[in-house]
Formats: sequence, structure tokens, C-alpha cells
Amino acid sequence: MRRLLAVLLLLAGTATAHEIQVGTAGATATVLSLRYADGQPFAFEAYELYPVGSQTPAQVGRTDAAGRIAFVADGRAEWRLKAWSDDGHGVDRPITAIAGELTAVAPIAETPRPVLWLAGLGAIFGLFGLWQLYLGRKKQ
Amino acid sequence: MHIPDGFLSPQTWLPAWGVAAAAWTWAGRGLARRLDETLVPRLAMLTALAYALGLIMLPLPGGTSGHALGVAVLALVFGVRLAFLAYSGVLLLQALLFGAGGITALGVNALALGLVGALVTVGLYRLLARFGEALAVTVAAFVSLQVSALIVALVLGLQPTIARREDGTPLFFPLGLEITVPAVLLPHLLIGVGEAALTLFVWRLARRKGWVAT
Repeated sequence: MRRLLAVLLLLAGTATAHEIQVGTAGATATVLSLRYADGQPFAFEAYELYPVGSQTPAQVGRTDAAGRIAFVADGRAEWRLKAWSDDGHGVDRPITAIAGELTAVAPIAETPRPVLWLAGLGAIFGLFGLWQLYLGRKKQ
Repeated sequence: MHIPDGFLSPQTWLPAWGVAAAAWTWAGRGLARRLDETLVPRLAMLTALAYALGLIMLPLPGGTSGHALGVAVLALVFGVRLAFLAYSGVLLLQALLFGAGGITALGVNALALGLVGALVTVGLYRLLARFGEALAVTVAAFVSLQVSALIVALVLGLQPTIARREDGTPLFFPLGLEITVPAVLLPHLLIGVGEAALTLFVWRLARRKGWVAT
């Protein structure tokens, strides 16, 4: 009996090998925020994060209810984000990770949307205006 | 419904660009003769309408959102070729300015939404006109949107089969047809009702003003 106990005690050290140990460590995360153009969060959608140049994702998962992804960049600045919904919305673009900052992932984030709207309308009317001018001159 | 960059394999988007280029050439043939001074301001107005419609996202049940296209009204008023050209320009602007739809995916988007959408609209309208023009416009607009949506869903859903790594991991859009077809088509049944109502409204206005060519 004693021998058996001694053997069990000796084996106890390896018996923990299949346990998942959970630890907590302080780290500064980068938070990506994914939204549709109307402000609606790109919520609960699938994503993959790749270090630039790698074919293997470093992190996969789903965005949270607010359309966010938090990840620890481990000193790497350049990443590639792939995120998609079942109906084909999404992004596949490079991301610069800045630890501790919220990075908005929009196709073109810098220019205000109304300015882009007007630019598009200007392009349409400008192009057709030029065509009209061309037709007018041709007629003369 | 615009497919963004990075979702399509080169095996898909390169041939699509080739087919689209041929279709643009066909559509542009004799443009100077067909696009006269009376037509240009009208086409500009309805192209601007399609551009604006594509950028107004409406929230839909299930957490997704959608928008009308305006292709059907362009096709009914100006015919397939002008509608296809005008809508391709709209897609290009939306891609360049807003990232709504990709540049690499422009060929697929233009063919699925612009060309097929316009062809189905005009074809169905002509087929159904004898049962009443309002009915023909409504059905044509609704069905054309569904057909375009189906093509987009098929193209997306085929990507895991077309391009994958040796271990079977998809290289581009990762979801198969069993997911993309219902995910794209179901919301578009609702969007189609809006598209049909809007098309009928604008078509009636255009008809009252004597713009309608079909």
C-alpha cells in the first residue's frame, strides 16, 4: 500500500500535464474598431490577423458586439486584417498596430464622408458636363 | 452587394476584368451618336441617383444592412448599354472614394450588377409589358436584383473551391455556397421590394417627362 502511494505521489507531478493553466499578465493591447459606413458596428463577424508576410494567422476569432478586435502586437507594427461577414461584406487590408490606441478600420477614414459624397457627385456631373460641352462644340 | 478587394482569387477577377472590358467596348460603341445633348443631362441625373442610392445603407433584420442599386431604372430609361456604362462608373467612384467594392473586383461587380442587372430588367420588362407596364417594371426591378445578388453569392461561395492552400485552407473568401447563397439572397428579398418600389416611382416620373426609351 505504501509503495503504491509512493508511486502515485511520484506520478502526481506528471498528472497535471493535461491541465490548462490560466494566468493573467499585464500587456498593452491594440484595439481595432470595425464599422459599416453608417456607423453600425461590424459585430460578431469572423476575422483573421496576420503578421505581414506570414501565411499563418496570429489571431483568429470574431469581433465583439461593438465591432472591436483587441490583440497584442508583440512589437510588430505591420499586420494584415481579414474580416468578413457571411453576405460578403468585409475588409482585407494592412493595419499599423499602435499599442494602446484605438485604430478605426474603415476603407478610407481620413476624409469626411460628406466631402467624398460631394466629390463623387462632382465627378459625375463634371464628366457628363464635359461630354455635353463636347457635343455642343461638335454640333457647331 | 459590392464585393471588396481581397475576397476574390486572381483566377476569378482577372477573367472577369477581361469579359467586362469586352462588354464596356461593346456598350461604348457608337456612344457619341447615341448620347445626344438631350440625353446627357438625364443620364447624369439618374447616374447621380444610382451613386447616391448605393451609399445609403439601410439596417436590415439580422444585423446586416443593404442598399438599393438604381440599375433597373437606368436600364428602363436608357437601355442596357448606357445603363451598364453608367453603373460601371458609379461602381468605380464608390470603390475609389469609399472603398465600397474593390478595384480588383470591379469587373465582377460591373458584370453582375451593371450588365446582368440591366439585361434582366429590360428582358423581363419586354416579356411582361403586355400584362401592364407597372407590373412589368416592378417584377423586372425585383427579379434583376435577385439575379445580381445570386451571381455575387455564387462568385463568393465558389472562392474556397477555386483557390486554396495545399492543406485545404481557403486563400480568399472562406465561406462556401451553402452560407453565401442564403446570406446574400435573403436580405435582398427585402431590398428588392424597396428597389422595385423606387424603380416604379422614378420610372413613372421619367415617363411623364418623356424620358423613357424602352
